[in-house]
Amino acid sequence: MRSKIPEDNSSFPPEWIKLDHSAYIYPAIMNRRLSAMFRLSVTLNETVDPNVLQDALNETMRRFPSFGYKLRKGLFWDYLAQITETPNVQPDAINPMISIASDRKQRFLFRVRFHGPTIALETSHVLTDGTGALTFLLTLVSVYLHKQYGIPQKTGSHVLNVSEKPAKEELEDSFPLYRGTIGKLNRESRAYHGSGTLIASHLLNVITGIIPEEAIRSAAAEHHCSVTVFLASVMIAALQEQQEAEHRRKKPVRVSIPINLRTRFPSVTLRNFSYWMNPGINAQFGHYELEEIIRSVQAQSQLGLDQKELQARFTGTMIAANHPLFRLMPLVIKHWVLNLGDALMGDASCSQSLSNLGSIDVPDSMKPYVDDIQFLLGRSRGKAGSGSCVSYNGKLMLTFTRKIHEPVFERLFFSMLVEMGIPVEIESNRLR
Amino acid sequence: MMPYCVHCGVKLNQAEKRCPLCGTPVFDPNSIDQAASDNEPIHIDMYPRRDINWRFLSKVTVAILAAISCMTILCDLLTTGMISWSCFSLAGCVLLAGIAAIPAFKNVVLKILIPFMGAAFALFLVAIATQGLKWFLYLALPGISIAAIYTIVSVWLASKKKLRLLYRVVILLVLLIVFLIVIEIITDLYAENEIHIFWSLYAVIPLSFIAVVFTITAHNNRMIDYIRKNMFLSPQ
Repeated sequence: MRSKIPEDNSSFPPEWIKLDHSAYIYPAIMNRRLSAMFRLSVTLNETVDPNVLQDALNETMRRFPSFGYKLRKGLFWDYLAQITETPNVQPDAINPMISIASDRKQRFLFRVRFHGPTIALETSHVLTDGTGALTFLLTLVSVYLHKQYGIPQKTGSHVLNVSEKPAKEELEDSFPLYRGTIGKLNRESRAYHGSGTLIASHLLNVITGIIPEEAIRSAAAEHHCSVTVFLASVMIAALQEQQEAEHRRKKPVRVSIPINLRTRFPSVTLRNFSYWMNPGINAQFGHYELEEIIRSVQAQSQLGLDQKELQARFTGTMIAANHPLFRLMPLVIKHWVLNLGDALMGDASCSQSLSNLGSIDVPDSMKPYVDDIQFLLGRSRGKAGSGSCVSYNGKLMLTFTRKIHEPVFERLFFSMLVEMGIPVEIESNRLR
Repeated sequence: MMPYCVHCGVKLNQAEKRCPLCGTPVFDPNSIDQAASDNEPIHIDMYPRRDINWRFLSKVTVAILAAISCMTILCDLLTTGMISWSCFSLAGCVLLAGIAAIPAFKNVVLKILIPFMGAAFALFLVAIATQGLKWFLYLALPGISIAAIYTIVSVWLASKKKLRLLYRVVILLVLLIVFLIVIEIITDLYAENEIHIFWSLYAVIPLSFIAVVFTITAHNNRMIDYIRKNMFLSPQ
């Protein structure tokens, strides 16, 4: 299954590393308006001390060498160059994930923010995916709690031991190691996109629905599907209703769901190792009831999660990226090609996205101090917004971020949940 | 007690004054936690662009070009005893200096005129060196003058924010059509002493079509709103 890793006796961590295969696109599309970032935050039960947090960050950075890199441009490829210092923690902002590309004082590809009892990590997708970022943040929180309250540091599924040396496998690009020989590129038609009035490029509207995990699990169990399939299906139903109200030519409605490839391939990398699938319905065939949507999404998800199908799909993308013509292109032209491709096809085949980090468990010693975990996606390029969720402590925090004023989709979605008898508590970032 | 939205049926956070989903005000104002509402994170504005001293950079560039020009003329004088080939080098330097000098001026009209004047002077030097003042006077100078006028009008129109963007684009398209026709007339008069409107039509016809489409669209507020909302364009 796993290709052999070539012997490498060079220094660790290396002074520079190549971008992983799913990160090629981000430097090409990142600019002052588009951040290509996402955010994870942990709410503690007491106000955060920024000095202790800074100490904890300094210690955590040594365990996570993959976060100590800045983006540099080569002649043919972007690459990551090592930075030896540690970034300073920053006060949190009401408008999260403001583009790192616009901040010339910011050399790191991530920020650690604090406000009241909240510690937040905002990171560029160039560095890592949701799993890598969650591991970094929870390890940072465990170090902070150890320093602040003296609680013993215990490792867990997302908490690493900072006194251990980082493993080389945590810094690897896992895509080439698990690639197959035959590639498959899916061609999907353009999906329905909601419309709305654009807000300023440095702002982002955030609405979070806090749902009892038990209630959503029961609802999913009633329909014999997983929580992700259930939520994606309700999103599709809400988007279908939104499209029908607009009286436009019907288009397919699809929701993009990222897949953590570490659950399919035995990788321990802390860099990007995820792919996606776009289950949905073709609204041109008529109105779908929720049951029909769930059945369709369930079937498509089962196929999308098939290991060989996934391998063929990411192999297809890798074959395209390794085409000699593309490799020989100077970086400026490469960026132009990738940017154009992303503008035309990036978000074209999905109407919304749902990134589910699943149910998070932290070591028992941390539990009394950690109240909530929240997950937000940054501004989308082609679609109005994105959805993300994470479950912790019996609560599912489902967050929708959007770049438009009108919360039409969000209202339809949460109203559907309320009509099903699922209690929802709403909070927002209250942009004025 | 947490407030509920009477419209959506969702529970609302204590700090919410309105339902974030439908905008309905919270029914019981006593339930708003003012402390939670006030204790919000800071608002970060867009980071400023890189601060470059363009005026200084402009002056340094012009000074370097002036030094290069003086050295070239000196070399020409020392080797040939007259100003001959150095005219071409001088013309190139004048052209570049005209562009480099743009940030040094505060007046917008001067910012536009200086590079065009630089281009005209550069062509004049080439004309002197090649003993061909006729093409300069009847072709290059009128062409550059018209381009300069078109650029000044375009910049002036761009600053008229009260006029709808689409109308401004239409006016610029019409002016571009006029500009192309005048350029063809000038070249025809210089080359053949007769006017045959031909090549400019290839540009004029599609530009006219676009201008008509934009004029129709500019009158239709619903269509503009539809395009803006579906393509996520910034409100004007």
